[in-house]
Amino acid sequence: MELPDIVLIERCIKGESHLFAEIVERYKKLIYNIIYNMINNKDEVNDIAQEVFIRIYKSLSRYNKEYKFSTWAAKIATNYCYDMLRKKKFECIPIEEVSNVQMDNDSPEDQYIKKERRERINDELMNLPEKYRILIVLFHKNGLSYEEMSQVLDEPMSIIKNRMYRARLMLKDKLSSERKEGIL
Amino acid sequence: MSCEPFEILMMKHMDGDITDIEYKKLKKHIDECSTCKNEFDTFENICYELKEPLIDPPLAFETEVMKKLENLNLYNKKLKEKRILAAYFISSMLFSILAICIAVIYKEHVYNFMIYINIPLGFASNIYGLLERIAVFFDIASTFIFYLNSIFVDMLYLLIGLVSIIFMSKIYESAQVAKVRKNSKKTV
Ligand SMILES: [Zn+2]
Repeated sequence: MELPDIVLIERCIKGESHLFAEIVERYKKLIYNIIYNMINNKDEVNDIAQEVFIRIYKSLSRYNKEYKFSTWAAKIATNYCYDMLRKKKFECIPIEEVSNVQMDNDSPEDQYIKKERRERINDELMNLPEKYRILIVLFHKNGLSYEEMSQVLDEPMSIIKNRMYRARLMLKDKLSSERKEGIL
Repeated sequence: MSCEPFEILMMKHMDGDITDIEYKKLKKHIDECSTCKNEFDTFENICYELKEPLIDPPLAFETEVMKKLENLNLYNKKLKEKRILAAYFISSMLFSILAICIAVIYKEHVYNFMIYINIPLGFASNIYGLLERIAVFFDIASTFIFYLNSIFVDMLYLLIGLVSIIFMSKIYESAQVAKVRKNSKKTV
């Protein structure tokens, strides 16, 4: 039987720290993907993600039940990424192989074009200013709602909506200028 | 016709809360306006590609996190154990010194008691002898200190002053360390 998050958390705080493994299992994909898309240096993603979970563990007693746990965890991950980005500007290592080539029955050329396109989009995403990038990452990649994003980022919904609008336009403008150059 | 309302509709479309009527309106405009058609296509591409594969964390991820946590806990536990051990050691030292002092003062009683509970005479008198020797040592030490005291009274006061300063700075230091530790716990 699956225990609800809150039960796991309470038992962790009371000393059954092995149960934290279950929490890691549930949220690792979310946390990992936020970090993956916020940190340029992919070699560091794994270490940072582990560090974030340790931070989550240490702050468990301060978990506020009004949040969904995913929102609260995403908030810790986001803040950690901001800290890291502030501390050192990671040298831009190009995104290696956004792999998983499970493209149906496309010809090799089509596959190549699609792969190219995905890489361009992810590259441009990486070049967006952090506060715009995080919105695209949270909403489009990880499927958070506007309300959740407003909790993660501690900003009112109106600001989040506005910023998302601008983020999408920025991304589109960069990509359509490339399209004119014949890349897309 | 201005295209801005349609840009807003495209945003709504991406947010996933466009109504059917709005979507039809948008489609109709796109058929007529190539700028918006391009824009719409780019947005569709972006959304499609962004939705694509989420990265899977490495298989050993949980294990690694739990290992790190365990080390952390282990470290805390070890620190606590060390402190408890030190406190135990110091208190047992103090206790045995106190016990010896009392035994020296009441050595006759100790001897009589040992005889009373049938401890072999040889052993009891050995203990008594030992206590007596310690008493003599205390005597010598106290006269020596008294003697030193009369000669180096000033030196002694200086020494006491120094020792108390060292002692106080140690206390202050440990208080500071405790504070820092507390703070670092808070910030973590
Ligand atoms: Zn138009």
